[in-house]
Amino acid sequence: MSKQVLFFSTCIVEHLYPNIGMDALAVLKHFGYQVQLPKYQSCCGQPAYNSGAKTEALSVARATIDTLANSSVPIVVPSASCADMLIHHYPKLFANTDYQEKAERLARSTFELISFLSSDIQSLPSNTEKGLEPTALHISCSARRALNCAEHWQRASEHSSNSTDEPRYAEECCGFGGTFAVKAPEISSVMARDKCEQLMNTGAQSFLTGDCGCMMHLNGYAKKQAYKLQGEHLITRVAKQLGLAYAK
Amino acid sequence: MQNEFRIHTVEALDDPQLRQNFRGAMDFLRDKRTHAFSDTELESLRIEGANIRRHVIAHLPDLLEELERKCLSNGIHVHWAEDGEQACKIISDIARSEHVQSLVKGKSMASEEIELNAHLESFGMECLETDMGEYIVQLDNEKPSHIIMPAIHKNKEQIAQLFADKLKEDFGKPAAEANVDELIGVGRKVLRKKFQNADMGISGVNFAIAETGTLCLVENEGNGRMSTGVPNIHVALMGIEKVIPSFRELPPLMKLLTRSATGQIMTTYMNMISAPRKENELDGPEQVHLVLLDNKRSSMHNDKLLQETLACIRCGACMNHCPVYTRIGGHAYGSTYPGPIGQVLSPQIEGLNNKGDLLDACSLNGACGEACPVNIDLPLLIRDLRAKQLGQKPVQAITWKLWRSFYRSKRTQALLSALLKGLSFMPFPTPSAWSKTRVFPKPAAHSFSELARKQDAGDK
Repeated sequence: MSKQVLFFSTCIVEHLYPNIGMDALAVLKHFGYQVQLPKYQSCCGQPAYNSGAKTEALSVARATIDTLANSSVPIVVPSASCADMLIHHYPKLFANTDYQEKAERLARSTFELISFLSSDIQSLPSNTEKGLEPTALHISCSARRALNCAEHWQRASEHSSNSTDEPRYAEECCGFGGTFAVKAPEISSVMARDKCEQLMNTGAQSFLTGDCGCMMHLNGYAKKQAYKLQGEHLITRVAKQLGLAYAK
Repeated sequence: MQNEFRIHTVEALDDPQLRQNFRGAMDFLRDKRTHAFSDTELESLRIEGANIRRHVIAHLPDLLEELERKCLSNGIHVHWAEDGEQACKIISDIARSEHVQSLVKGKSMASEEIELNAHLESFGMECLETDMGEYIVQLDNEKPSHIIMPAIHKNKEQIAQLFADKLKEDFGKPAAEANVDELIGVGRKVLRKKFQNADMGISGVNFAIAETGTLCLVENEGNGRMSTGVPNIHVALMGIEKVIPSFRELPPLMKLLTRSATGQIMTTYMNMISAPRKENELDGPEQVHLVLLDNKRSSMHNDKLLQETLACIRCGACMNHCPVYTRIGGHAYGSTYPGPIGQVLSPQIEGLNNKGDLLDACSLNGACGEACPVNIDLPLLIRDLRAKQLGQKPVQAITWKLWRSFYRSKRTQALLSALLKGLSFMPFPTPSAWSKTRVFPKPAAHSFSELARKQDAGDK
């Protein structure tokens, strides 16, 4: 029997970065996974939850559980912060409700994509292509603090790119924080600027990450400022290494 | 909408000197803290400390009664203040009945919280801050910008200039020539005179031990000991959550407090006050008063989740690790307590309608919760307060209802996809709050689900 996974694309990948989803599918398939897709792709509910809209978060989270929980295979998520929502916050949100058991089961079977594929990625020959551009790594706060998967990202980055030294203040937030970016845009922008500068100070013109929110934020800032800095999802880099990237 | 907090934020972000001062100071404090804890000790200590603080919360009324009983039998007068106004009145009544003219104060955030200085000054009393940092901010008519290091927003040059301007008699040289030791020397000289003549001393309390009726106070300058030992009357002001059961709980909490706050294994001074001067004793105050301040702490205690706020030991580690605080500094918050704990405390003390805007300035990155020595899940408390605040924000509340309507079913999600697909051919309407400094990616012409389905069909 082949290995199976259920791929939860998240709302950002669904509507803004479908290529990342396609790259994830290609890489998962390459490593022998049969990929199932849920009945429909939804949102984990984090934007509402973080903004205090608990009722709305609960109702969307309930819908997400309904589309994902019927499956008994591992669920993989291409953003650490959304994975964190499913893994750590759902059980809290649904504690003492009729969805408690489902939420806990879902939490146990959910994985952040890069950590899930960690040993598969390590099994590839290292990317030793000559003249490879130096690439920095942005480990998101959710990956570092909530999911403890910094090491997996580091190893994936070192394996598939010419990775630079860790940027200064690597543990500091990029300033995205969902609605924080529009509710406190001035602080958020200064944080984005500092993060971009630290990433560029490594000598890189590109960076890798496994959190689509941070990537959207930093790329959006870098583009507006005409910085020579472009972020890419780790899975896209792996797909490129395998010659499977969706965007040619 | 531009609220007051956001205006102050923008001002702070536009001040490069301020940002440099904070960044430098926070880097320094974070490094010192990291060195003060060996990793294993931190984790086990933190669990121990967290458990002690939860025990206190669970037994708060009993512990406070025990503390009162013990203090009274030790000869300490005990007063209960429901709010800041009452606490101020209790203290000014003591001062007035004893004809107090001049007071010296040790550092106390609770006294900042109730604006005690302004109250006492309104009766014509001089109320001098004796902690060097507090002294500096008082001299410049400012408020503390950090709960442990009140003058951290100023650098050496700015302090030298302040002394040169305000302390001409004692500071006889151009500001540019002063070094740190000389500056401290000047402050010390001024303060020393005041200690000798003060009628009353005021202090805060770090921990109050219920079993023995002992007030513990840590400090580094000796000013706390002078303020509590030299004047004839000592008034200690403490938030009711500072009580702990016995001396057994003190060492782990002290270790966590000083290491988290200043990266010190222990502070230079550690004061334990259990009674006024006894017969045959040569010094110490003849009267010791303890003012127990509630000021909304009981309402925090009544909320099953928000009572976690009361576990705080006021070390400041959460602000030292907060990327927002590091950038805007303490004053921008416009409240006694800045940083993450301030974002949780201030709306509860001053009301969500007054201080709820502070809750916006958090990206929920989790650095504060990770740094907290007693494991307070600050991001969770911020989320909870945001939920309570949403009731006061009808526009936001409606936005989230609309958002939910798109994500609740397959059909509505398809509608959203179609809508976004339509928008992918025209300029995407992004709020200026985002687009002023950042480009928003265009919605994809084909959603991931569409692409995946298409590919799947092609494969077959």
